[in-house]
Amino acid sequence: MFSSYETTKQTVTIILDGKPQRVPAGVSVAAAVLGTGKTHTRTSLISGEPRAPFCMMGVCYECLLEIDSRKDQQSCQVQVKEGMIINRQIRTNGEEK
Amino acid sequence: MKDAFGITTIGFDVAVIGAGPAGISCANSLADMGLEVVVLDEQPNPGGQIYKNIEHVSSACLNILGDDYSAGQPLIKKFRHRNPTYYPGASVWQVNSDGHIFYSKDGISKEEAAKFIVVATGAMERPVPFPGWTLPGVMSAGGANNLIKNGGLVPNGRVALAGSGPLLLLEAVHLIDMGVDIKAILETTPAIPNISSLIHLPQALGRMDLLKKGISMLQKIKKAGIPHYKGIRKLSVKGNDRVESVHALKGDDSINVDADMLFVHFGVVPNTSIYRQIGCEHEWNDIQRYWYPQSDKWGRTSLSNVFAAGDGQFVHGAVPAALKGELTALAIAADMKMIDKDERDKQAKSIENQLQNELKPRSFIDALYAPILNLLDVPKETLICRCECITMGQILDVIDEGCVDPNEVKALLRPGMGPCQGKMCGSIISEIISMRTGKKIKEVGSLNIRPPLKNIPLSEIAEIKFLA
Amino acid sequence: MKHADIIVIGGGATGAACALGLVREKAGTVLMLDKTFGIYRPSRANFGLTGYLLKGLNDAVYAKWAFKAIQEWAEFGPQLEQDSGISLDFALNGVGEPFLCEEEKAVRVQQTQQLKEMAEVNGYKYNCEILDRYEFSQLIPKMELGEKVIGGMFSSDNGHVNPLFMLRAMRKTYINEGGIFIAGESVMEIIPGQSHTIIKTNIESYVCSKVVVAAGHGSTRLLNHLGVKLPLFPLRGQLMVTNRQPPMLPIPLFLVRQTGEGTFMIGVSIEQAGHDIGTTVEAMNSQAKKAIELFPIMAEFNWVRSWGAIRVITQDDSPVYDTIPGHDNIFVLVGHSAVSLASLHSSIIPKWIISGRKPKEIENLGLRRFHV
Ligand SMILES: Cc1cc2nc3c(=O)[nH]c(=O)nc-3n(C[C@H](O)[C@H](O)[C@H](O)COP(=O)(O)OP(=O)(O)OC[C@H]3O[C@@H](n4cnc5c(N)ncnc54)[C@H](O)[C@@H]3O)c2cc1C
Ligand code: FES
Repeated sequence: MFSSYETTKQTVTIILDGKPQRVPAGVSVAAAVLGTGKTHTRTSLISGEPRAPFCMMGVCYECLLEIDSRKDQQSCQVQVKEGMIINRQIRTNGEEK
Repeated sequence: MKDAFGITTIGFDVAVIGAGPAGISCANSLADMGLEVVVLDEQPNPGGQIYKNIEHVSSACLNILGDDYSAGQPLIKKFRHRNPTYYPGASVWQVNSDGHIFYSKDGISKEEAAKFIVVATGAMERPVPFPGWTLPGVMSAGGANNLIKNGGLVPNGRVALAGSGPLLLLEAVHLIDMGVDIKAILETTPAIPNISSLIHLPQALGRMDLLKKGISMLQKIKKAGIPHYKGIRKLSVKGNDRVESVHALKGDDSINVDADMLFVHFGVVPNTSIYRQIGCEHEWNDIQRYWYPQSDKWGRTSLSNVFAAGDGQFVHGAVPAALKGELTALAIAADMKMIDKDERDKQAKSIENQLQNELKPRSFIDALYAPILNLLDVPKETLICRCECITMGQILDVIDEGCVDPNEVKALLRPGMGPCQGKMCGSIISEIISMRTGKKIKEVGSLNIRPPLKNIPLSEIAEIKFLA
Repeated sequence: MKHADIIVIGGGATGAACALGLVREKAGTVLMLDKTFGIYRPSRANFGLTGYLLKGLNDAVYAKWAFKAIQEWAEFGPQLEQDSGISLDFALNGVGEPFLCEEEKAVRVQQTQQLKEMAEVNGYKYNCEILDRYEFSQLIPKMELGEKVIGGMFSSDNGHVNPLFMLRAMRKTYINEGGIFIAGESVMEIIPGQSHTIIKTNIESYVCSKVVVAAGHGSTRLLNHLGVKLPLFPLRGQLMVTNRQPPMLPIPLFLVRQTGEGTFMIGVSIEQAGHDIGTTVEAMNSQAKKAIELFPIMAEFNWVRSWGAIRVITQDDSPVYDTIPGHDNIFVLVGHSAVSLASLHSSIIPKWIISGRKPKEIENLGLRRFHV
């Protein structure tokens, strides 16, 4: 749904859902994940519906992702780092899928 | 540690929470006057929402974002030059009225203390629910704007915009400049300005330059040939797992737009979390329909050592925010006996004049874009609390069972108990209660805000570093 | 002036249970008044245990009363779910407490012994086992115990409920069965008369034959006007709650429990802090440490919310059920553990209020015990 406006010079490599991805350095994890073409970042624990970052300013908590083995991180407030391991939280009824 | 008057004697003179225009200009002035300042902000760089990432953004993006954005450069440069103690990436999760602050940074929670606290945490976009607002592809216009500033990302599908307020149109203009395919703009604001806004027009004419800016935005949208509807109602989005189409009514005609993304904006409201959590008194603005902390012209809240600066104090915009930060700095410097009261008032005079000049069009804009909520139009199945998936129908049911206090609705039904802690649904619930029962918002009240203001792992609170 | 047969002041756990019982017993027009006071709201802020474990250490009458309440819950809970159509997340599948050191264990062993003996004298069986570490770990197979846990106690017939859903269900059923609920009005004064009592709120005046004062800490002020000094004092509890987790803790423990939604509740501190419902970072710190000591995996859970609440507690922990001197149509129901006792507050207590004959089993749970 989103793509880069211009080619970025500096990039870092993250592992997203097990696959390496090159993303612009300095951006938030939420932006990086949206930039890879993913439409949603988690599923609601209650309804199972897909959800995606909404506010991008730390208010809504829709952007929760697992970052470096820590679950429920507010990814719009975290900067990407080289080698970061990021997993989207696709879960239902509290169980990992 | 506290002295005999209960005043904190360790730590800094002033802690400024928030490194947007208000926090930065306040910190700059305080540092100029020789006070020990610490600035905390959860973002990795100074600039706040408006000047986000301004030190690193590419020149192409800088061009698109225009003068209002680059105006932040000198402020940030001065901040870097002044170099006060600055904790970027620090999320403040509790503030006590005695001046103690608890925050999380790089996975560690710590305590800090200051004699004065300036809360400059800004505003947030007003959350307004409609069917489909939780679908991926629906994003706040401010969020989409952040993606440009922070990620250099532009939408690459069909886009629709909906809501009201100048920032919605500004975002449209940015997207046009970036060549984005905008299918429609759906404004809830009526085509003919309401009478109450026109009363403020003469005063607004005092800043023709700002009004002209608005007119040129509208011209650009028109030139781009984008369908632009005004006075729409019953906005909704449909799609399977993501946005596929956007719908609304204009009069009796239905508007249907095929789109991959919808950016929404319904104005901004002060982010009052910290003020509420510390225990500041609040007042209600009936035109823009939001709560704001009670304060005097210096920003001093009902707690004498706690100040509110910037849009968190009242939504005035970026330039006034910086000016308000300076006024707050003067008041604190006078309290700390760094300057005397005459000096304070003398310096304040010119800032106040500038502020007055900046605020000329404000009442007009606020009245023109007064929110039109029509929440009772929202269908029963629509989610109000996104975190806990609580619907409009469930909320109406408990209100009808006698819950007339938002905290009671929260207790019995769980809206506001998820990770966002009611930041999204809290104000909506109060509005729904008010509309359903006919009570004024002031009587209905608002959700209590308690620590932690940010979710933090238990390991962090277990290993928190207290001040010695 | 509006008229009712019985007015219940307070729509918390005690008031709502009693009001529900009154309409079920067809006590005429029942009116329940509640003003959501910022601080007097333990009914919306408690841990949700339905248990008799460790209750009544100072008082055999209360111990037996609490035991009976839990027996009654077996019927009361499912009935309430059925009547209200609201799932209460209720189960009587046991409550436990882990021991982190020998001293803790010794105290509990002695208290359990004492309660068992009291029960035997009074003709019932106090069920509680003292378990070693292995036995205790078998109760919670999905969570690894911390190194320091040496064992624990467990009572298989105590239980838990979502106290907020319980409150909503009681109110909803009360309304469905003809009760009138007036929310948002604050009672200012009770004016007793020969046959009728007047209740003045900030908005209205009501006249009724009987009054039930179940307003938690708010009761103190109301009864002071009538020359009655309630022996209540505030005792703060602080609780913290985490984000949702997959189901892993099947039974509630005194310090932590997992709710039906999956969140973990951690509490409960016991502090004398006056009427301050704030939370302190110190308490959060020590509660988090303790939780992690019990279950190291909890270190990874996110703390999302915390709150403080003021217990409605008497000097001897036992509740007060009485009429006030000179006015046998003004009833007082105040005390701690209104979740556990809800089953009796909506059965035996309403019968007493209707008939005016106080049952023997609560004869001693009155005001008089504080004046000797
Ligand atoms: C931390 C904590 C943990 C607990 N855990 C448990 C547990 O696990 N199990 C258990 O059984 N119990 C537990 N409790 C106790 C339980 O919450 C209380 O016993 C119960 O809430 C008391 O109910 P109440 O109705 O008497 O008082 P409240 O809940 O305080 O209700 C009183 C109501 O009266 C209203 N009111 C007051 N004054 C007026 C007035 N003048 N006019 C109109 N309305 C008025 C108030 O607003 C309130 O709604 C716990 C308590 C705390 C604090
Ligand atoms: S997108 Fe809203 S908190 Fe991150």
